[in-house]
Amino acid sequence: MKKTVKLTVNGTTYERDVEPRTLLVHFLRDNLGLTGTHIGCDTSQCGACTVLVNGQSLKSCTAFAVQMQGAEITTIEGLAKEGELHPIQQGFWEMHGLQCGYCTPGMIMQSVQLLDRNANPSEEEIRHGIEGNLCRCTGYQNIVKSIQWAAQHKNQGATEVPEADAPQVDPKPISPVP
Amino acid sequence: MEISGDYTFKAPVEKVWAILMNSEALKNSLPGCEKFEEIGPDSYDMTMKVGVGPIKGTYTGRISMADKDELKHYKLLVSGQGSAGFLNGEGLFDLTSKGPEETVVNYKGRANVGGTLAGLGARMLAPVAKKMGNDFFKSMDKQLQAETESV
Amino acid sequence: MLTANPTGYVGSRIKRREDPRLVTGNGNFTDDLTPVGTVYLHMLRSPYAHAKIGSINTAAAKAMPGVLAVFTGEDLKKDLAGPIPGVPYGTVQTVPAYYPIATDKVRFVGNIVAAVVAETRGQARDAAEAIEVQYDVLPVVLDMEKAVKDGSPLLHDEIANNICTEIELGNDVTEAFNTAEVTVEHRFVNQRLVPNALENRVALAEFHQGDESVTLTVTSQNPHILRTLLSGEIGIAEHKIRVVAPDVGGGFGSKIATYAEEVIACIASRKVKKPVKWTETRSESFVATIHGRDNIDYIRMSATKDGKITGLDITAYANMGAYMSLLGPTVPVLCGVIVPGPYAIPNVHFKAICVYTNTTPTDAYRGAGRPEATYMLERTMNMMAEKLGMDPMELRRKNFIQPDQFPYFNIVALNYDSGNYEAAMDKALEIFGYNEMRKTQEEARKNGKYIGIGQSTYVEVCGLGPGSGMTISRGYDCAVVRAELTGKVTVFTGVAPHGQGQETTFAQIVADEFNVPIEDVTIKHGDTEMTPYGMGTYGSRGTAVGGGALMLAIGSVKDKAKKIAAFQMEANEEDIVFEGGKFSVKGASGGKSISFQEVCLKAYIDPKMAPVIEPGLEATRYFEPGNFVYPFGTHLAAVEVDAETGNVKILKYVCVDDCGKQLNPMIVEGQIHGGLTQGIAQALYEEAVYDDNGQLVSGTLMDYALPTAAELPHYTLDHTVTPTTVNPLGVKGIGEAGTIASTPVIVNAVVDALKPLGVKDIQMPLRPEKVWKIIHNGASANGSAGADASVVEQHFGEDNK
Ligand code: FES
Ligand code: FES
Repeated sequence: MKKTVKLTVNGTTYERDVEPRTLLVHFLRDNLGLTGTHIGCDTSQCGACTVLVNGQSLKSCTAFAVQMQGAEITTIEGLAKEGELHPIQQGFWEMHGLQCGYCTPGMIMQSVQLLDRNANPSEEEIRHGIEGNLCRCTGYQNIVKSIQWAAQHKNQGATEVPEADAPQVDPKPISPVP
Repeated sequence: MEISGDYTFKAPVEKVWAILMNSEALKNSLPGCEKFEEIGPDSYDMTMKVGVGPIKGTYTGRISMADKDELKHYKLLVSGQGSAGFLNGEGLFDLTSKGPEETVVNYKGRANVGGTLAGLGARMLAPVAKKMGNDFFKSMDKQLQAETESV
Repeated sequence: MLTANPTGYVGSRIKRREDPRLVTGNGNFTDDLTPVGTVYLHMLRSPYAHAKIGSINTAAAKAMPGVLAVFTGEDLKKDLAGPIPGVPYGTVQTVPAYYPIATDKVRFVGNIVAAVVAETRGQARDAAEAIEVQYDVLPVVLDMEKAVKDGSPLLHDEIANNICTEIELGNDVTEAFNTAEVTVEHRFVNQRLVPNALENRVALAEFHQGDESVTLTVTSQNPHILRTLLSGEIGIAEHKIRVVAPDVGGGFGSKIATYAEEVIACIASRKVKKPVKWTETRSESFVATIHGRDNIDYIRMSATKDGKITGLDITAYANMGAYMSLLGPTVPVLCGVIVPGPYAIPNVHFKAICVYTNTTPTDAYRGAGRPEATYMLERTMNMMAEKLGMDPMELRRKNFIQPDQFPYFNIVALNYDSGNYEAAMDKALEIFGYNEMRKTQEEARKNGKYIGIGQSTYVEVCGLGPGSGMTISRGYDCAVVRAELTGKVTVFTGVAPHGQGQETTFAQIVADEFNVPIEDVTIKHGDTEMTPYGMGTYGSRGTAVGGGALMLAIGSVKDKAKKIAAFQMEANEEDIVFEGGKFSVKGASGGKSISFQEVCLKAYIDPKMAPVIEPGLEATRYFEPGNFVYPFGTHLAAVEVDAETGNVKILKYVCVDDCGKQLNPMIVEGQIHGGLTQGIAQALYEEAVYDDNGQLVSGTLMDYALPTAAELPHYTLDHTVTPTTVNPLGVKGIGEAGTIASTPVIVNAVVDALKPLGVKDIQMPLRPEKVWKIIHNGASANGSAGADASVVEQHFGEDNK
């Protein structure tokens, strides 16, 4: 019943056998051990599971792993490059854009796409841009500020959105967890 | 939750009535029906596997017919239970002959749901129920035609 | 008291030390942990709100692939030492046994009827589906006011009239109402809410065969309390239980109680001899994790014609849900004790009737009782102002407890230690531009626009708590401060932050006190094997109480360090001063000194000290405050109601809060933002809705409206600083203030906006559809919270006319 899927996550290419019903988010967490991508709901409302698929943000609980054949995926773990935080990560740190931090990975990945599409968003555009991501702690005000901080600093020529590193061989397979 | 609708058979009312009353046809028309046992007149124990989004699962329950008014009206009572919750419902079916080769069945159903099923709200369930109703009649229709052809 | 130090961390906007791991996906949440050999637990839950369990057939489930164990209520009972405890208060008849898996009856949708352990999540779920349960459905009890009437069906046979307990506080108000010049009375519904921390609950139990101990890694706000309670539930002695709360994704009160699933996971792990993990889904969480609020409040207020409030009388029905959750009856107590708010009211009577219904149990949710109190009080203040023809702010000003009245006993229970309510109010009025806004409102009304101004002046009670003021247990917390050999400092705290930022604020304190770089300080928490007994994080107590313990422990370490320094410099201990990171001899010229780091080194290795000073440099201290703390403030909002859509837009939100000294203003602001949002969401969006059969119909995030970034305003924050001496830091809690204050602000504003239509009250949440109907069909179109005035009249009788 298992199907083979080959995809690239944070620059590393993996080839794994998965059950067709495995959601991308479970594949990332359980099969690849990338637990930075969180799960907050079962109706695709919360956005905690947001990742980038071929540069587009996607709630990874809305797709099956087997649909990701050949895809390039970036998760929160792949955003900082060589120990240097991505401007959005830095912005969240600077502006207190997180409290418990549970929504944060998804929120950051969504913000990456937001700034990719609109380098200088207004407050209202930011608020609409992250509408699909729920945060129960911050009241969003500092998240908005974090994204504004990132927009300013990104435009000053700080780090770009990292491209995937040169593909590596699947390093150390982590025993798949159901 | 309430659902209603109608379905038009291209067949005389007698034939439509007969197929609707046929337990074998009933079994075949229940989606994902795995077990179907007669436990009394017009009363059956059943197991259904339904796979629609979050209400996916196996439901066990009972289905029975009542208030039969030959060629005109009957009632279908369903009660089922699965890990996603329970469903108790009744459907009223009214047949109207629109000519020698056309019969309209109006159905009106009301269901009580519980557990996750209820949590999902009628908003999500109504379209599912509607589809299941439609599938039910399509299947009956198919069987009716098959019978007609084989005759 | 805090020392002023050149390091200057305290009071600064220090970036959080929790964040680097959390923004890079390196957090450690419970569900991120999967020890080798982990198996999975799945719960079969009742789809009925009230039913007898006829029979359960687990044979088919047990035979399914991967299944390791199946538990029914009876199976589990054999391994159970006790049911899930609730803390009684008031006239409790008896605490009904709440078994983790129901045995005889199910009493709410979501009540567990069986549990399956299997090798994979899917297998566990599939097997749960194969369990056949026969239910005999019973009549459902939902309406509290009907539930207490004779003849209503009973949830628990042994509990008459479904009354969990009654709580009565305050003094006799009869005279006040008999002689009242003006009275208002009303019935408010404080709707049921679902906490919805973004991380669902997770329990990972690892039973260790070797020494028969168990480690439970769990989403908890109070690991120590959980360990004690767990011991009573699973029958493993406390010293053989380790409870670990790693990174926890928000709690808001929902992760205080002890839950069935944790108990089942521990027992299951012992049985299958493997780590057992249970991860809640969101839709499961909606029925399985505690709910909050759900009160019906009858309130009447008396005053003189010129606006002096003379009496307050309240009967509150508090919905406990189906069982007594840990703090179920404590929540209405927290409501009653603060119900007079910041006003000097000579006569106050509060009665709570706690009622069992066929719903998910309720417990503390952000604010816990204090939002309910503040909501009814601040709404009633506005009704009274309206009746007196006064501006709502003037009525408040007229009744504030004055600064020279502190300490002030509020008649009901509490001794407010300090406060300056008018100062906060004036500041808020000015920032908000209250008078100008009134003019804007007037103009808008002329143009057929609905603009309203809402207000709330609140005082809250938090920093739980003084031993003398708590109902069940002393109220303290602890800290271990360990100066390491190399001069670094490790702190173990008994509080369990999960977003509140104490890894940062506590490090700020330590760094300042020892004059070391903040990088040299680590704050550890959330592991019962690491820290001494702590009460955890809830009731805005983390910094007020845990920070107090930290200060004491720092003091003790400093004392010992001085002893060492004296020995090293051959001076008298009393002559040693610690300044700028150096110990020196008072008055001695020549500048002989020894640094903090050197003292640390000597403490651990100097053989010369062997005969005189015990090695090591650490201290464990507990702090138990003598009183609660009483943060306060004024919140103001302007809203516009769109007549076309019924949508409420918040034009402006200003709050001035007083939480005493701010250790890190950035973190304080974050706490307020989050609190405001949850309070505003109660006013506008959130509501747990049950149908007549006790089915939760708002049971997913599709149906239960959590606020998103798009509908919220930008908040304007400011503060006043009124010191408190209740704790060594001079701080008051700030985690709940926003939630407590903001709900009535919004409702007051919307009611004010719709005043031209004759609207006096609208029942929360003020969703567009409801508001639209009122605009288009008139004030009577939609049940105002008071429902029928006759109901309220009936309740209080005719004596106060
Ligand atoms: S987990 Fe909530 S949207 Fe994916
Ligand atoms: S920081 Fe806790 S949910 Fe966003």
